[in-house]
Amino acid sequence: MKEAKFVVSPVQLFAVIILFDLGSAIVMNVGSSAKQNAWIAIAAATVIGLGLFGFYRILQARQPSYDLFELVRLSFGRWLGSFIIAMYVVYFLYVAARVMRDFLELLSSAVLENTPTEVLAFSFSMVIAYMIWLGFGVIIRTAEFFFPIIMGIILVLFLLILIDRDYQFFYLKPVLGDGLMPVWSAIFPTLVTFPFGELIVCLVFMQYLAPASRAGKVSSFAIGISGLILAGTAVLETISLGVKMKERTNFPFLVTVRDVSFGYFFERMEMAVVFVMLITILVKVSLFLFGALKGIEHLFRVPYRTAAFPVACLAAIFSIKIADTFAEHTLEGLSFVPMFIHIPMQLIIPLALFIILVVKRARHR
Amino acid sequence: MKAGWNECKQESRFAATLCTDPKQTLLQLRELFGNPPDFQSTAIRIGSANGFICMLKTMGDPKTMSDKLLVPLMEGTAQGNSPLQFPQLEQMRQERLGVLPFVYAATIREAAERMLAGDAILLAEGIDKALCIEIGGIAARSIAEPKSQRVNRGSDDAFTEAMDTNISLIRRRLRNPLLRIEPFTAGEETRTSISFVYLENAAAPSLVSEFRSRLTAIKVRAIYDSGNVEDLIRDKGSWFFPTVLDVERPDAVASMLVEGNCAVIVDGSPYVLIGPAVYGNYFISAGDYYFRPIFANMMRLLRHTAFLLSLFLPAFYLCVINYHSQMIPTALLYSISGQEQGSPFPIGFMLIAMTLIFEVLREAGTRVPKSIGQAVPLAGAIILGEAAVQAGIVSSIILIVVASTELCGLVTPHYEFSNTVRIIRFGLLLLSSVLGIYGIFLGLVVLVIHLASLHSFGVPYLKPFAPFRWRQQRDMLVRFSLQNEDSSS
Repeated sequence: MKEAKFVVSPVQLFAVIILFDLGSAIVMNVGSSAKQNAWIAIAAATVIGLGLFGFYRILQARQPSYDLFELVRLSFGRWLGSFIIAMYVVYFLYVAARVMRDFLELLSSAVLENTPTEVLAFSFSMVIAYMIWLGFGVIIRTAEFFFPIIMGIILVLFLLILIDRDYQFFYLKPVLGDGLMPVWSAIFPTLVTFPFGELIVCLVFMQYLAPASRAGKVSSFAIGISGLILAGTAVLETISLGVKMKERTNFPFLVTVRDVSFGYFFERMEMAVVFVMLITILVKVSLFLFGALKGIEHLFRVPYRTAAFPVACLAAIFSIKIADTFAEHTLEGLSFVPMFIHIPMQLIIPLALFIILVVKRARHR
Repeated sequence: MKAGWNECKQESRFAATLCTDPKQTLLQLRELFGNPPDFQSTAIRIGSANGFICMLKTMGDPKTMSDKLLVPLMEGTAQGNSPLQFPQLEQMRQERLGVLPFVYAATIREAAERMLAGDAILLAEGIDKALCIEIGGIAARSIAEPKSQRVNRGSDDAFTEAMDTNISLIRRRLRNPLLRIEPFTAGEETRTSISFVYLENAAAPSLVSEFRSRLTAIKVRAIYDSGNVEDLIRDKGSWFFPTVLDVERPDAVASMLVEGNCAVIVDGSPYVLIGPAVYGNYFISAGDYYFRPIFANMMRLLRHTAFLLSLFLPAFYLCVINYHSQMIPTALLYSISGQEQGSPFPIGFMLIAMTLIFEVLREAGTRVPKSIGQAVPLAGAIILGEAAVQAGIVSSIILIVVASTELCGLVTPHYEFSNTVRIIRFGLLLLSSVLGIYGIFLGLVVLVIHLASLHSFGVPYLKPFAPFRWRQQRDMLVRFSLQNEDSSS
């Protein structure tokens, strides 16, 4: 009953989008194929991501009270629509599992080397299931509560890196030395789809937004800031580690922060990075799972709270089973997933949706 | 089980109108009460008729009764024996009893209830109603200092057990005709009176009606304290966090009422309930508003920090020592490990054991007779701790951790919140001993999720942090100095 009149305020949207975008992208080695120009690639991808999200908003604005699944049903009809909803459910579940895997790898390499991955995966997914079970409002409020803390930590970490670490700006040179091609190949399809294209999951809750007029400004601002933070991270990583080192490490941000020591007391700040990762990924995974659960609600009429615990368990199992090693996991994430999974789900289907909606509207007249 | 008072009073003989013979009515009343020793009745003459006056001398002061009632009534009695008419009685009441509060009871049931409230009952021949006159004047504890919510500067009076006193304490601070007080009665056996207080121009109508409906919905056998009422009207959803504020300071209640909250006063309890209460409310002391803002803000920050410390310190210590010794500076690590080497038990076990011993000390401190005073807990704490370290069972650093944890937990101005911390601390200790810092992070996240899911009378528990409201943030986190309100705007 309370859920029906639930409203997401602009501040909440802002917090959620930033945390969502930073989720796993801030620690993973994004855009590394552009070498020292990774930050340029990220900045460019941010601009494209802004356009992409603008497109999602336009798509949603055609039927403001509809969520993604209702749009799919409306335009593809009952059977094909159900099939595409099922595809989205699997897609959201899979991406949730992938993101969770990123986190598990970080945990088992940086914090708990000897603990079985299953324990970590299930404890994490239980927390997420608990959050979803309490309702969508709780996800949003939790994100909103942690948002200033996370921003503060990132700011402090940036400052500490700048104050304490040795860094050389010449690592950034030559700027665009190999031309635009390597940068473009980093942008498309990898960077555009992850993390920016993944915002398609926002279409599941866009109808809860309070004043529709300010949503565009706020979300664009949020995407811009998250892109700025990601690009800043890439710059800091590159100037303090160097291109070669950065390429070799799995979690460059963690390595960059690890050697920071300040005042002989703040040492080994990597726990702060782990915390940032935990919160951002918590938000990201819970939103994806919420998307999947909403899809299930549409398909099978199971309330999303009821299905929260089993589906979260499923995500935990997937996160362990999708790849045997971290190398396999990242390789899939770089070469296969963006092209064959992200692009259809984030671009092609929404485009088709949009065209059908426009045609239908035109025919209606 | 025999029928309770609630069923009893439905019986026809108690619900029927009184008969005109006062003797008969008196007998019925005595029978209902079971002829107790404090049931006092005397025959009097009212005008030209016979009558009876009766009261429970434990509920009203007999001396007040004879001064205010008997003496004026017995004046100018006439001879003869003719039954009274109702207008005559009413005229007599107006002339002789003046402003004494009164009520006419038409049934035995009503008369009995008025007697229990401390009224004297006047029965006169020829009249089928009983005149109930409020006497009052039973002994009550005088207004004393607050026991648990003390401040350095500010008023030093606290609520007492008597509801009228409590209401007067609030009224004295809010001399405002818009202060609304609504009476309720709850508890089938105890018939406890409850007052629902709010300021009409400040409290939101939806909040007031929500309170009203929850108070009307109360259906229990007995209510002894505001704690019972709190349990019945609070929002369900948390085992740990209180969602209703217990306040024993009238100034705090008055300020909360002005801010638009509602208060519930339960007769017999010196703690007044206030709702809605959110997380931030538990860190605000009434004294904050009587000091300069900068100092109050510092104290508030300190309280929040101390609260977090008392939650996480033992768990954090445990995980740093057990899992992540690289996280602390080397010199500190040396001094810690030098100490920990001697103790034969695992750190987790020792931490939990010492925390438990401190809990026992705390409980013993509240149970110990006042004459022994503070000696027992203090001696227990110092001697036990000292001896444990000397015997090499516990490292002194564990004692430091546990003691500072306990101290930090006591900083919150509302005692219930420190109880909350005591429970959650153990859960966090357990998590951190199993999963290290990841466990603590998970615990923190679960805690925040839990808090984000709570509501207090429809207000999100983490408001104004999440959902974020800048205007209200101003008082929850930081207190700004008072400004004269701009009259031109």
